[in-house]
Amino acid sequence: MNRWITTLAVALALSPVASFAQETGLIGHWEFSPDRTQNSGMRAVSGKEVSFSGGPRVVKDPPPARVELAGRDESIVIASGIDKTLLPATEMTAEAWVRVDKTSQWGGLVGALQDNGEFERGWLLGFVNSNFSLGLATEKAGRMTYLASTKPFETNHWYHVAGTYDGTEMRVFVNGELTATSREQSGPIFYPPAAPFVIGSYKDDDERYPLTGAIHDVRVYRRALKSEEIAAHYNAKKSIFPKPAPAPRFFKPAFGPFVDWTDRRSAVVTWETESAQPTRLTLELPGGTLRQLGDQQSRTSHSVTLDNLEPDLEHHYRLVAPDEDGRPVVSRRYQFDTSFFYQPARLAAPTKPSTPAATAQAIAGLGARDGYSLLFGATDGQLAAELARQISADIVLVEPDAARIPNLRAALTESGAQGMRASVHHIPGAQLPYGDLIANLIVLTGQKPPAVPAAELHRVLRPSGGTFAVVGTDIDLPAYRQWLEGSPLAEAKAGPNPQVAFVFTRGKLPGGGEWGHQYGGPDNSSCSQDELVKGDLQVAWWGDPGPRPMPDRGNRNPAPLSVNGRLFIQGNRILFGLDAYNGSILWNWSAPEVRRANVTRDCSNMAASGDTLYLAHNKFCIAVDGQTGSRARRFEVPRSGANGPRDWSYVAAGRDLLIGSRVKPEGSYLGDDGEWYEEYAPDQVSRVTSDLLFALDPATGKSLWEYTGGAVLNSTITIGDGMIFFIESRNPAAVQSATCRIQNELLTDQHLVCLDQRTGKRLWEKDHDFSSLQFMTYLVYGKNTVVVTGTDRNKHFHTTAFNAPSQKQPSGSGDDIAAAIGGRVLWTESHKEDKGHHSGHLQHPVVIGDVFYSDQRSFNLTTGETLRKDLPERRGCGVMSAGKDAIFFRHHFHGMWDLATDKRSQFMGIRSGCWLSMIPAGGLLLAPETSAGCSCTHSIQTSIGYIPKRR
Amino acid sequence: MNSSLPSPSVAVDVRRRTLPLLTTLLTLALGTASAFATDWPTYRHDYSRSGVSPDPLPKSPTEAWSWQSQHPPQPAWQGEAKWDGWNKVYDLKPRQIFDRAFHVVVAANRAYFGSSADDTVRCLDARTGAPLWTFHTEGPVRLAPSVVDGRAYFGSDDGCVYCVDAATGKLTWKTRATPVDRRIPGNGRLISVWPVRTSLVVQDNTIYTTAGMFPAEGVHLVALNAADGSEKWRQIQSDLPAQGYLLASKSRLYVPAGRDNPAVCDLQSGKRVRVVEGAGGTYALLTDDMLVFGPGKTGQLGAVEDGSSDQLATFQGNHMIVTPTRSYLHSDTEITALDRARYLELARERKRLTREQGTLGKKLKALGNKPGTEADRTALQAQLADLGRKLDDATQGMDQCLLWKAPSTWQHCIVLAGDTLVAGGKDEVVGIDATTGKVAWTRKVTGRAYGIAAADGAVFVSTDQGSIHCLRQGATQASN
Repeated sequence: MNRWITTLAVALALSPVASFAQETGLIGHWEFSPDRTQNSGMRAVSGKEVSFSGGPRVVKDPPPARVELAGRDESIVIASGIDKTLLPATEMTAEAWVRVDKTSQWGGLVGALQDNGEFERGWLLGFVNSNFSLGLATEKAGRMTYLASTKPFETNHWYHVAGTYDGTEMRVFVNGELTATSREQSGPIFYPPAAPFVIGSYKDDDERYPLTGAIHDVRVYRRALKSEEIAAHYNAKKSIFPKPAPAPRFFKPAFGPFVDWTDRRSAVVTWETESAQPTRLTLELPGGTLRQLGDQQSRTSHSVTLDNLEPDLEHHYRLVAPDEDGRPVVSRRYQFDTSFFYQPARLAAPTKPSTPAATAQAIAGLGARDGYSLLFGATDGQLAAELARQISADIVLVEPDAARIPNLRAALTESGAQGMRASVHHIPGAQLPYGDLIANLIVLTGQKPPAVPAAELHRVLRPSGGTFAVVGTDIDLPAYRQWLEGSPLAEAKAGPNPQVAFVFTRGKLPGGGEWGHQYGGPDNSSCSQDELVKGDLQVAWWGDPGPRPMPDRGNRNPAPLSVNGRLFIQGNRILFGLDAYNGSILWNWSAPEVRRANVTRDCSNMAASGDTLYLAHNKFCIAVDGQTGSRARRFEVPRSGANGPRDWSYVAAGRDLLIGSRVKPEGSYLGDDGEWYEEYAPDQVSRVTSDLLFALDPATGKSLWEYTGGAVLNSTITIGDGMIFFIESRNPAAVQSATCRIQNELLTDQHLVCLDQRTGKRLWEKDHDFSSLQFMTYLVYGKNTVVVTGTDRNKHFHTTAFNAPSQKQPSGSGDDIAAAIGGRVLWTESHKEDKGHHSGHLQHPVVIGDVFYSDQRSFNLTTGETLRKDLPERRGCGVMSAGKDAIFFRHHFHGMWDLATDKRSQFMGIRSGCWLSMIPAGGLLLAPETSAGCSCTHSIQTSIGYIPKRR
Repeated sequence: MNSSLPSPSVAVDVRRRTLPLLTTLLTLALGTASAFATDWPTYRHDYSRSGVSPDPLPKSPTEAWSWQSQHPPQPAWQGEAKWDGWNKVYDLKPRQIFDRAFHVVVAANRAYFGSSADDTVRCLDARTGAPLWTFHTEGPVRLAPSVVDGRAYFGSDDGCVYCVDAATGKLTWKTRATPVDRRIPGNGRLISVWPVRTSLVVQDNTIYTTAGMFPAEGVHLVALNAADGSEKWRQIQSDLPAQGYLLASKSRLYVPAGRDNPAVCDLQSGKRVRVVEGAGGTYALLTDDMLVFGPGKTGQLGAVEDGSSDQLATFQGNHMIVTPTRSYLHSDTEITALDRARYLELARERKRLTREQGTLGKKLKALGNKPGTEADRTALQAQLADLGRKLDDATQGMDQCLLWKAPSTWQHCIVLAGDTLVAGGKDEVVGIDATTGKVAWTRKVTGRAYGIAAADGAVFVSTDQGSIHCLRQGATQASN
């Protein structure tokens, strides 16, 4: 270390830094102001310039001038490595004017450190949770001391913070006052060989905690300033900082924005405003170049086309709109990635009129336009090429005769379809090599039937809309009738077009379940009732989306949904519709205002029924067309009794009923800071509550009923057998909460309530003490039994089952109703969580038939009798899902427990995330990629479908 | 005789155990004209995946021809997650992508490459770019062929291994790498459950390859007779996939496993020897005495010595070029040249010190604050402080192994040809003097240059837009 000091002395003598110093010992002074920004950085008042990345915003209006940091990927770098000419050796002072908008476990204002396990070096002026701190390691101590101010700071307030070290004592000053001292460290500062010297972030090799807030200025000295000097610095500027700092204002569109990709270089952004006004879009290209787009036309629907984008890279944009005084207000910084375009390549129009265009049109008119098409009997490649122009499917020409293949490929190559749009498979036999249920469209065009039996084609045909057709004008009808006979395809009829001799559309797979809500059905049973997914499974398909568009694995994100042969996946502010049987991406779009996390304490923002995905977005619920992704229909959250803005929260969807709930904006968790929500802390376990439940007719949007009572815990809203159950707190403080996010202390006066699903009328209610459910509150329904469960802060499960008979509303009120009709306690059970790791205390239960599975135990649903205490171990943070015959979970990797054989199996190499992400539906086990961000080296990150092996 | 040897006039062992020495010898012995005669018969020149050719390059090559695919490459996988929220790590590197470009191999003045866009392998005249033949498979061909003894060997996502005549493209033999033909939608195409996604190593009349993605379906590691494709041995992995380019030494086969760490297998039997430790990735390089692979989570290469599982050293970078005396480290922002021998010596010293530090740390922890242990604690703390200083010395010594450092925006690929480093960036490639780190020339290409081959005195650049550019001395441009 002495050698370092010597080196430093020499360096100081030679360094230009020394000549910048205007105050004694001043190494650098960085005052953030637009006047000083240059290229992708900023000049210092004194010392070395800083470089920016990730788009920190330097603004001066309204004062003070500052850099605004959103806590994402912004960074402000003084030096990328340990440059001893820029760092104090023994004595030091670091000070900053800062506004912290969001606390975190660790925070950094300025410093250079490595704190990785036992390797602790460097120093950092920052904060620990809500207390400003100076962290520092000396060679003598060998470890860091984080000296924290004794008084916590308030978010959204400006503070002057200073940390000093004089070689023997560390001090922390807040607003000019000494708030903490320590003599744990002495001697020279112990620097790591490598560490970035940064502003606005706690950053070392292992971790990064970016600041959410703003910084006005930062100074670093190579001496310990005296108390009077620090007080003088505080007093010199304190008058320019508002108290408290006004919360940052962001423009938020009434609807949108949405990004629809056109290809990997262009996209269209659309959004709506409440009133007609001019808005514009500022596009930030990778590398920081800005483009201003849009016009000054006043309108409510806005659209901008983004061209010449960089392929396969992340782009950012902000929307800008005038406020009531005409001053521009910017939105949050949104992002999208040009690699998230998944549609097949478009083919150029043919250079000469295409002979088979009419035939291709007839085939395209059958409606099965996506996924995979098998084409038999092609005489040349022209029909396939033309078909590839008219539909999106990947077309496979199945050809038994090897001699004909070169010509087929030549035609496909000439059209540009060869390979990624159409290909030829040489299949000489009667058996196809293809997996079950994968083909959206099978077309025979030969005059005679193929050698492949009709039953074999039916095996490959996708349920829920897969189409089989015989197309041609000179086909041998008797031969085809004979060929079809005895197979399920014999139901084929003459087609709508004279060219279509036979057409058959396959229906739903009998016994295939559906997963239309967060926990399977609206009964929250986490069971799809699928009867097919059991026994040995094999891979049915794999592919996108991969980890890139997905949220971090740990945020307890909304589950995927699957109904009617489609799979809906909510990525990180991006929605996907897939074909559940072959993984084809039907559509996807970016929606940066659509996000929900910590569903453990909230509810999902989507549900699916029939051909529609219902998606809560701000005050709307969008009825998304499941096949095309169209957002043409939407419903607005009711305004009854609301004295301010409200958002749509809960969603449950049936054929003729759409049930929703209402929250105050900003009430939902977003999970943007990598939260795992597994600790017992107010900002993790507080429940999101609704102030209104309501039902609409999804066909007309007509309001059917509304219910107001207490603060309804979203995580408990449950529907079964025509009844809606939930727990609400009637504590006025909870009901009148400003955020709808309620801490446990306010969750008093709780009632279990049962409504009639058709009318919204209260059938019964039960006043019950649920105060032991501190980590979370779950509610599930089955067999006229409603079960409430959760864990206390010591991770003990507490479960109570109530009777919930399906009855008409009786006369009477209050407790009389509960006693006579429902809400009678059937059984209770408590135990210390069995799992003991990986969020075992947050496990959501499963109900299959009359068995209640919770933690690692099972119980009789109606009697509470303990059936097993030895459910298979589940290593990992996910929760269970089930079909009728199997339970799925993460056990290191994708795991399955077959109930009939009691056999546990796992699919090595692929793992799911930290909530519910493996769903059995439609005869498949569907597992979108949800392990995104997992630092481990599990070998494959992919979305995948599994199917039972053929018996 | 070793069937690994490429066919043209200068024989270079594709295992490249002694290639850097050959570089000097060849240059001295053959002079300029003859020195432009070495092939690049497999991905990154040899089965060590060295990316090093003895061929010196012309001082100022220009584009001789270019070839453009109708559709760009269709990589099987997209990028890594945006961040690791638990550990607050940003800018994660993709660890399972290996097929961003149509990587070119060159033998006997012919250039060969597979296509993930139209399922083919193509052969062009390396001098003119004229198409010579096209061979179709029934699935994407994601990895470059290996050309040995006049035959081109490659695999496809259709699950088959192919051998074609390198001059004519006529099929010599074809074999399915797994016993069963089952095809399902995979990465957007109807392909085999067991696609061939690790390239082929052809050595001593034997082909080594793999088929399979999902351990639960079985990942097949197979050895085939190069003459007719008949099976020599087969091992089935049930824990790791196989993705990326295989590497081989005389006795070992190294099997990249996508995001996971490579497995080391016995070449004679295919039996697993070990799985090395590291942070995963499909990029790998075999030097005389160690396996270097990555890019791990954040662009970090790990080096594991022969016979060992744990890492000797890690390097901040995405790729590395190794010669007997130097290592060139290629990161997103810079290229550095290191004194290799000294660096490794210090790395070994640091590893030893780190182990010692761990042992002392455990002892200190065990002492806790027990009464009467103050003296022991003080002594241990002093030893730890001393070790810390030695570690710093070793680390600083490693820093001093730096021969030169140059900023770089050409982060996608790097090779060494003669004494020129050729690096690929966005829309351009550069030639860099390997001795000084100075940029010697810059040439435009279409797209991000993820693949570079150097043979026959020329540079072949493959981009993510499906372009292939050939740069030669005094060339006149032609394009398809």
